[in-house]
Amino acid sequence: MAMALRWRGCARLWHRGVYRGLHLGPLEQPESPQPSPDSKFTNFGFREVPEQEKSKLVGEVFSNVASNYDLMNDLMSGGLHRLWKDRLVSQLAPFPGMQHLDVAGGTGDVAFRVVNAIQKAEQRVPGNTLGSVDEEDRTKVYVCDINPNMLEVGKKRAKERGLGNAACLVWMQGDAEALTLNDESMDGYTIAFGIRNVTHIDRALKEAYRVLRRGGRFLCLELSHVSTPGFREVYDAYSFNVIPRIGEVVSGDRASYQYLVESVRKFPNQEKFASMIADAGFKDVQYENLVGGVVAIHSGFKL
Amino acid sequence: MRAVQITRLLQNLASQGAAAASYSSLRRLAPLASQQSSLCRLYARDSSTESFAWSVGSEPGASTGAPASDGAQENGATSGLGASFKNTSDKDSASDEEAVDEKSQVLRAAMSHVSRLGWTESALVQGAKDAGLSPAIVGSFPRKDAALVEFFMDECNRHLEDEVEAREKELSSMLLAERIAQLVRLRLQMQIPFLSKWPQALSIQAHPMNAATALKQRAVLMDDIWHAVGDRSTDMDWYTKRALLGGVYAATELYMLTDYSPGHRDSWAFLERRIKDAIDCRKTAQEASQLAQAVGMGLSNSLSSLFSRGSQM
Repeated sequence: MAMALRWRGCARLWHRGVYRGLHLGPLEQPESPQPSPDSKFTNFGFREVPEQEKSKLVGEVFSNVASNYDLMNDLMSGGLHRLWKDRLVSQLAPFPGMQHLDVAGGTGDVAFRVVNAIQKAEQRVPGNTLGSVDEEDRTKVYVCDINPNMLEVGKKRAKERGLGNAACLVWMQGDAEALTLNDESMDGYTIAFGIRNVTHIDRALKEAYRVLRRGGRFLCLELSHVSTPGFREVYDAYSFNVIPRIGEVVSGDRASYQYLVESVRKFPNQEKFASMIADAGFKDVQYENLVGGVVAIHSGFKL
Repeated sequence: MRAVQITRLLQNLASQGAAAASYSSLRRLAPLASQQSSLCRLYARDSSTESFAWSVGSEPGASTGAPASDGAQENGATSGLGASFKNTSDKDSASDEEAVDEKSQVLRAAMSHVSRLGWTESALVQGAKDAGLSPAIVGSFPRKDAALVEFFMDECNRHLEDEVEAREKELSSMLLAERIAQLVRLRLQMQIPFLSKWPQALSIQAHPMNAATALKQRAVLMDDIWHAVGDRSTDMDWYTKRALLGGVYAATELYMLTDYSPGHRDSWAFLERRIKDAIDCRKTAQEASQLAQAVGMGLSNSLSSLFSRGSQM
């Protein structure tokens, strides 16, 4: 059944013009640019694609989903994603004057929460701290996304919330594997539902380690593996049957959501990912499962 | 069975039950218990030569040395997150020890801001900045305010041990009541720099989530004081002594909060009166138990003579 889904997915992608540049007929194999003997392949959902292709394909997925991204998040998770992001930001414990980087946070969910938390923290601090005004001015939350469409949606939402001209929000386009920020410049780094779309996860983790200053915190919120026996079957059935159908009905794009669901299965499990984070140099690596493992928050410190 | 035999049996049972207590009174809480004690105990220990200056504006002391073992286990307790990633390799446990070391640096540096900012997250944030770390590390403390209070309590208790060693000769020449008064006074004096914010610390300790650790720290403190004073009891006395001293210490601590006399001399007078009360209380209890024994023996004698005369008839 998975094979049938995959072929239907491919056909749908063709109809959506994802292979625009490749001029394929309906039944032809996707002909990759002649792979050199040492080019590597990686996962794009359950398909194997050349590494160079993956970020382009992911980019196209997110360009397709950007306009309905928040609505689809609400439908797929039953509104729970808001609670997950709240939990992520409460773990972060933002403080006034923080330099924070939110990667793959195009529509700004996590960034807005961080800004609100910092504003609340500023109100709590007694007014006699030296340089409190300077601290407020120094706060900067960088929102980095590889996809400009997602950033546009985020800027629009910021305006709706009255943060359109906030000096503390900085929108930048960038690649998680090659950030343009200086070494040791960030206090916090969050990536919510973005790291499974990155082609080389270890490079993204190394970049995170590079930009964080000593004592800085890495937090990753990601869909992860459910190990509880009964619940896993329910979750799989929901993921593979319900979610692509919702995508088809709401945004007319089944294939992108098929990709999303498949990419979750291909992502390493909680322990493996935690060991990858530790390999990148982070200390005190912990993870917390939410909803029985459907979502996991991984945390590490640069010390 | 005669009343004498009953009381003797009860005493034997009590002494067996307190066997564990006797072992711990001699060992000052078995190593196993101390491993599971509050996480602050595993933080880096100061070198004994370092001065214990908690006064406002003092330099945060540099943290030294390697902390105790069990870094990996402690990190499970340290973080607020649920399932922890168990590192078992040597490299990882060493890195976890570093993590613990950094956190104790932050706590130590935060102490100099407590009198201004209270036992709060802002004090921890300032402490992290002083220690040269990003304040994001404050997120790693599961109960932030409580971590600061528990660290301070542990540091004071540890400093008290050093003081006891330093003043051994002086203490041995004092009477029991004076010795106890001196030690409790030494310990309470360490809190004077933070007296204005101490009510906040007490309320943090009373919070249900923090109460267990606070209680354990205080129990250890009482045990330390009694042991320093030379207590070698091995029966129910072990428990009653510590309970009584706990009451005296708590009462004096609360009294100090509103004591504005010069040098807190009213508090020390209060302390001496309470110690005297406690000693009287124990004396009264002993007299009462002896009276009960005597009455019991008298009754049993008269009853047995009654029955023996009855059987003769």
